[in-house]
Amino acid sequence: MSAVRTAGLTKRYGTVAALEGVDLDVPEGALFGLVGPNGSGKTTLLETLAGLRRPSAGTVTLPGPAGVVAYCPDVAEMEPWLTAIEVLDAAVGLLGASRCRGDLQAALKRVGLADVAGRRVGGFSRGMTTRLNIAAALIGDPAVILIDEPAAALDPAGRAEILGLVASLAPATTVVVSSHDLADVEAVCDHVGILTGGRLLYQGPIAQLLANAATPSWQLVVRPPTEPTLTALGGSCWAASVEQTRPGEIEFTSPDPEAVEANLAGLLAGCAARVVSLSPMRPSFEQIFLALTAKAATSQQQDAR
Amino acid sequence: MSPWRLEALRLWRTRRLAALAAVYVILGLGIPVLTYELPQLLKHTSGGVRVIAPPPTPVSSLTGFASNAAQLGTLVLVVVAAASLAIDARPALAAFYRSRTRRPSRLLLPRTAVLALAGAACVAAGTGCCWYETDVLIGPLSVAALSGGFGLEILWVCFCVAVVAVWAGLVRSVLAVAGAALATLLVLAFISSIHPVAPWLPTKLAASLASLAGPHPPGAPWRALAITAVATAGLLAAAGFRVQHRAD
Repeated sequence: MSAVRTAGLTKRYGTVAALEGVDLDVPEGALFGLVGPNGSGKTTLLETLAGLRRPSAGTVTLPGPAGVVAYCPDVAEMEPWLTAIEVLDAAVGLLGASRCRGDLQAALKRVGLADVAGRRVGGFSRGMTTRLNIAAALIGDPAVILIDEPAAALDPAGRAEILGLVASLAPATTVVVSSHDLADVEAVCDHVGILTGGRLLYQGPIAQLLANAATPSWQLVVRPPTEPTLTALGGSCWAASVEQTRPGEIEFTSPDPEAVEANLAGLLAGCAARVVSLSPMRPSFEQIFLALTAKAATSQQQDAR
Repeated sequence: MSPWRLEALRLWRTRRLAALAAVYVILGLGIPVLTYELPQLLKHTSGGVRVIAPPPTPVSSLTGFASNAAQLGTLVLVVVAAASLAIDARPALAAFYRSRTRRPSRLLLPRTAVLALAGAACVAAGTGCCWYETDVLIGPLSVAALSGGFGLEILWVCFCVAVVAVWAGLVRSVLAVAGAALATLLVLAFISSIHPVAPWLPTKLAASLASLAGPHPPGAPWRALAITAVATAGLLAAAGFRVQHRAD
């Protein structure tokens, strides 16, 4: 079941398209990572989902009325003259709801700010402000929470804290988190959407993306000389591409893993290769992302011509 | 915390209420003293020039307060109102407020109402100070006329807040909102120098405190009152529409 769905979502600023026909489908309870290079439309998409921007075309389907979707901007800002607990109280008040002080304290405790409940937020660090912003989003019990670049400009410890907090929100709450840091998304998200140039190139489970994109490949390390092994692999009918990446290191791909399993040992024995190691290679999320975005860029250039 | 309490806290903790109250109270306390002491002050000025000031009267004291409050008080009121009503001046803060309501126009009601109440309270405090000091130092003022004038001043305060609110829906930064609102009020003041339209303009209300308490009160400025009331309502409606439809 979908928690957030868009159909043909388009957002234009004059002649520039920030989003172009985005059909997003975020499953309920998912921790959905929205990745893309700078200027790819991530923030525009999140702001449109949050109702802060009006789409030029297309539709957004959300699970319910106001308050079910909470939005945390990348640079959070709250009234500096309010205390942390008053920020949560004000957030609830704006939603037209009410919470007892215990609930507000519990929300602060969840994000690790219970000790500074009575402190004015004007003196908070960026990490504390981000955590308070997430608490202010959670206090309204949203069905969906949209978080824009939560770990941007934080130190490694702060990043780990915030990412841990984001990871803890799902599956009770559907989370859509944008980031240009692929490692962060791969570490915490189960689903991913790849956005570039305002177009959604892929959406679905990360595991499926990795599995589908992977042309089976292997890394073979042999003692010199490597030429006989390279020649033998290049001459085989089951190895698609053979490349020596470094002295003694050979990488090859094959569309037929079973043929590799059946014939590789014999081939290596036949050329008297002294094998140091053999390991299957999995393309990283970053490699897949770069391949997809490069392909999209090439396609757009061709369209422009 | 209700949005109403939030707005009251905004005025209190940012010291905007203190700034606004200080202007009216200082004028209310200072102008009667200045009016009372002016002949003595002028008597002691030397340089061979003899300046004779008219004897102080309760009306001249009130006129001094009303004209200064209409200028300096309105200036501070507009700046304070711009700081509160420029909802979209800071995008991240705007996101905090706007993402929590599907009807952003609802953000405007508590802000404008609390500002108008605060403005009215400050005008009341300043007028009260002026009335007390004038009564003690110079002579009594007509309480009925003073009350009537005070009511018209309140409507002027509401009008100023509405002007700021509509500009807050059109431009974003606090400076731009305050500047545009002040320019609008200055244009109105300039137009009011054209005799035939003057009785119809909201600026007529700005100094009505003194004219109603004067020796020859002109009567309530009903035309300006009606125009101001309608204009205030219209401006607030326009401001609400702009805030609601600003998402771009």
